[in-house]
Amino acid sequence: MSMKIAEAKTKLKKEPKPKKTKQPKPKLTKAEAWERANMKVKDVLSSLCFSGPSFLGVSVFFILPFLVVVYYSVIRAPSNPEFVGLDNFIAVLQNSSFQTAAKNTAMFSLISVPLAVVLSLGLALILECRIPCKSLFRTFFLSPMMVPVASVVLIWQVIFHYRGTLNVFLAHFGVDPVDWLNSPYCLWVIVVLFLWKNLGYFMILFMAALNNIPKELLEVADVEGASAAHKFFNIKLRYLSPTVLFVAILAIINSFKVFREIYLLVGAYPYIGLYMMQHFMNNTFANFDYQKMSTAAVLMALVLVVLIALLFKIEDVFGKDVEG
Amino acid sequence: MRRKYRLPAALLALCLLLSLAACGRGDAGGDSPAPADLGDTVYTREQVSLPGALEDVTAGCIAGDRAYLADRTGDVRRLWRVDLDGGAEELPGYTPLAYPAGGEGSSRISAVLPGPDGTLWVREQAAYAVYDLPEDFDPETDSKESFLSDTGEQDVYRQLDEDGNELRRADYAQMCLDLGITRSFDGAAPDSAGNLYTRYEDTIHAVDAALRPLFTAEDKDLRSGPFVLGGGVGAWSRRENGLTGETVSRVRELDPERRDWGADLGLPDSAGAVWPGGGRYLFYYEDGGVLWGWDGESGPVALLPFSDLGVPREGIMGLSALEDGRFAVLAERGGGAELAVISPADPDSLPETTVLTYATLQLSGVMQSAVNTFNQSHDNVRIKIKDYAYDPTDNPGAMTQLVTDILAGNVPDILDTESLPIRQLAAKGYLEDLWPWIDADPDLGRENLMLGPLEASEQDGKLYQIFERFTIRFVAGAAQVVGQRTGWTLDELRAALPEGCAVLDAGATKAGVLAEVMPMELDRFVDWETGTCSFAGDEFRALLAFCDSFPLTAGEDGESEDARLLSGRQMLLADGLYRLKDFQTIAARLGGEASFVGWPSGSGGGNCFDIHSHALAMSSACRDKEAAWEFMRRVLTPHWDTTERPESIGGFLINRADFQKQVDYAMTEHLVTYSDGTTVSADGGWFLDGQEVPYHAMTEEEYRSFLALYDSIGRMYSYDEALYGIVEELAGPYFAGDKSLDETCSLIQNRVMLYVNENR
Repeated sequence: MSMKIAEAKTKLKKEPKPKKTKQPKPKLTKAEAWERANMKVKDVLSSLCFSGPSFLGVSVFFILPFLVVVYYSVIRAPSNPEFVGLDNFIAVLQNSSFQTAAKNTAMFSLISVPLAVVLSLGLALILECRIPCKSLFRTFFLSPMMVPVASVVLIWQVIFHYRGTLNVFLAHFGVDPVDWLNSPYCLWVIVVLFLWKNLGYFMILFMAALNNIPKELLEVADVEGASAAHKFFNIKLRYLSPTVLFVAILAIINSFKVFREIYLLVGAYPYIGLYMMQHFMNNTFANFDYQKMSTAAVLMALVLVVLIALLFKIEDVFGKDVEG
Repeated sequence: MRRKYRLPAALLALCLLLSLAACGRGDAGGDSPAPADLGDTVYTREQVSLPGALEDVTAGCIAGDRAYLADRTGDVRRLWRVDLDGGAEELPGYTPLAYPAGGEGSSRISAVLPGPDGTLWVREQAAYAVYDLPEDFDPETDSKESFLSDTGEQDVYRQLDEDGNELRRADYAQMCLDLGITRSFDGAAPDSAGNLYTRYEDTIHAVDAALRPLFTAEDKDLRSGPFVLGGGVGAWSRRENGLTGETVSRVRELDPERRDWGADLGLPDSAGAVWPGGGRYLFYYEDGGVLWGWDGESGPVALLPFSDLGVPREGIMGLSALEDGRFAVLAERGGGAELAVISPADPDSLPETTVLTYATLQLSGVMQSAVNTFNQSHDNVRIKIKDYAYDPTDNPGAMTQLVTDILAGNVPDILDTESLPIRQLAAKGYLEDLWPWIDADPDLGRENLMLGPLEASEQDGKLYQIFERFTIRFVAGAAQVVGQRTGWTLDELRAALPEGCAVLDAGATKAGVLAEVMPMELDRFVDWETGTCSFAGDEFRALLAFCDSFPLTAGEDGESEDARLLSGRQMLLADGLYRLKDFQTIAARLGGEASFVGWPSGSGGGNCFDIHSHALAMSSACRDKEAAWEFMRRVLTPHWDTTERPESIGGFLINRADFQKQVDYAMTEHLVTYSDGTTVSADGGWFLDGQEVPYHAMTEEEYRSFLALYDSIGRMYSYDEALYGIVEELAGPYFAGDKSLDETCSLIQNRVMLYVNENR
């Protein structure tokens, strides 16, 4: 045990990096060089055999369509492919509906993503403890994932309709009925929907990550007298950083996909607080305004790329010392 | 990579590629033919001349290289044989069904089917009456009806030889009576053994040549049939599972030996209509815009693009793939028929043609004929029809397909604007302004057209669609109640409404009135230039409150609308004007002089025009605008034979000369004298509160009133559907009492602002 503790202690300390020394390259004969090059080519070709179909699929279904969208964002119209540079981008950025959609989308993501990460991590920590009916709770939190979207929408309509369950319940306390989806509270209704749908899955991811934290470190921390908070922030959170990144990215992506539920709940032109980026894109497509749609899509993709790159960088800083 | 892993790696990659190749359309409906490979063959279409004496064609079919047609002229029924290469003659041996002695009536051939060995089967239906007239019967003074002794009807299948002589007869009416079923509208189908098959609900009943019951076969998913299938008989069955989306489509043969269904011939689930075949092909069907034939040995064979047949799917009476590679099609056309031969041609031998695409969401026989006529009269331009909506599995996909084509830059050259979002297309610059084409046309010009409806359909001063006929949607009241005016506001309406009087009939509801009033008014509350809306203002509030003043659900008070109007319990009449002679009914229904006030409107004019025919638009990227205009202009030129009965045409003609012919006809008294000397109006009559009132010739005063109404209208019935959808959706809770007027208007303002700003 003391050996293990000592080993663990040394792990915590930063190991000095070994000095790099240049090794002289061995001289190869012509035949050996040719053989080596031949092997490399064969390796590359073999690798392409494996990755080729996937790469082809990704190109055809993702990369090429995106390039087409970028093309549409810099031309005047499909029937008049005159290059207009950044005119479409300027027009879209100045469009008040786009600004509203961007603001709502950013607001929703800013609220729901941190909430999703924190709440799911909290649930995972709670379920990690020895509590009764743990598997029942796990099933309970996972079950919303299995419910079809149409059923979810129906349930939400029943609950949050002007004459829905929630208003009936609140009426018992003398509260006037509220048209939740046509009021300033609409965003919170969707936040609750988002959290209800996604917490279970994120919780499972965190639970799996928590199981992978080396127990020895936690034991060492206990021995050293670390508090629960210290253990969490300095050990667990560091080891969870890749998972936090992954969950955050998933949550961001899912936060954009919440358009589906909003569209089914309130249609193409909802209350202003629920008008998202995809509403803008969906509606401009239906109105044959492909340039606006493509431009908005490109802008959204750029923002997402920057955001995810930022998240990777943050994770790189916090989780570097715990990566294998 | 180590050598020992390379071979498995290569094999794995090969398996992956092979699995991709196996992806394809899987059909639960049976064998899936490979995608149609029609090669580069082009087809030319030639119409076969039909006998000039052909009148009302009642049935027909194609058998081999001949077509058989049945027509009826008065009491004369004839059977014709037409050779596809020219030449036609009446079948000399054919005699129509005879009535019992002393009987008279009418009959028709309602089906002609090819039989075995060059024979024909015809279905003849007749209704007769037998009069026992005394010797001193005087038609001038006596009524025949007093001597009616018997009535009856006949419904028989007759097998005829190639000259029309009857070989055998089967009493279909008696057959159904014996089977205890109702006669089917589609009748029966015979097989080569002379057995007859008919359908009642989900069951096919088979009888032998002596009409003795053979067997029954049931299928809850029958779509059509029974029909002749080679030497036998079959039916088309199509089952769709609404939950899983699975479709099973098949043609099922009937097997008299097994006394049940026989072989099932699976069709793709997207197959459209099925038509009986003949010769090499058991039947034909349309799938993916291609006509397919089912070969008895090899299964489905792609024949040619369906549009090359040059006929709409509905009304095809016969199809045949000839041995020499040509195709023949027989189709209904108006009261007659059209027979055409489609021949493969060497593309190099044909002059270079520009192909224009005509896009429609609802192809009609009229437009199909117009395209055929144009193609036949032009060598270097050809119009190809793209019917987006004909997809039995996914009609909503029609608009998506059109949008995708536009997105890909394949904007159709000519568009049928029915159901199309013309406003959006025009706003995005996809459509051509047609005023310059009208002004430059030597035979047209604005002075030759009824400009009111055309100017009313302008958008930003440009005309994007032209049409052949229009109607008038109006709201009228008795002049002594509403005053002499052609428009009014809500306040004026309220002021004029008498005590205890309803605005409209008992069936008017909040939602119904909203649908009438609101669409035409929405544009007034939107300023597209500044991107502002005024739905929270007093005017819109008042309009919405007016709609709310009607009941939520339709009621009935047992009184007709005419009685309510005449008794003064209803103030306004909302209706449409489709014919000039109907104008005279309006004043009569209002009990006096009519005042066409229209719906209450802030702009003062509440009546509107409505398009009553196909409307055409030209793409701004059209490949050959000159040719496209040459096709489209027929809509505006005088081309109707209005010397016959112009009043039978619904709507008012846009060409001024044609419209004048309608006016001349309406202002002329048309009388018919019966054999007993009675003279009545040939235009019939109409009913006022249950009493028949004959039409009279339109008077000068009525015509002036009509023109005053016409001149007062400045709007076309068209509106922004997305905008109206928002208002309609949000008005619902207000009408149900869940929301106040202020809340509703505020929400509408909120949502419409999004829409307006999106589209600026």
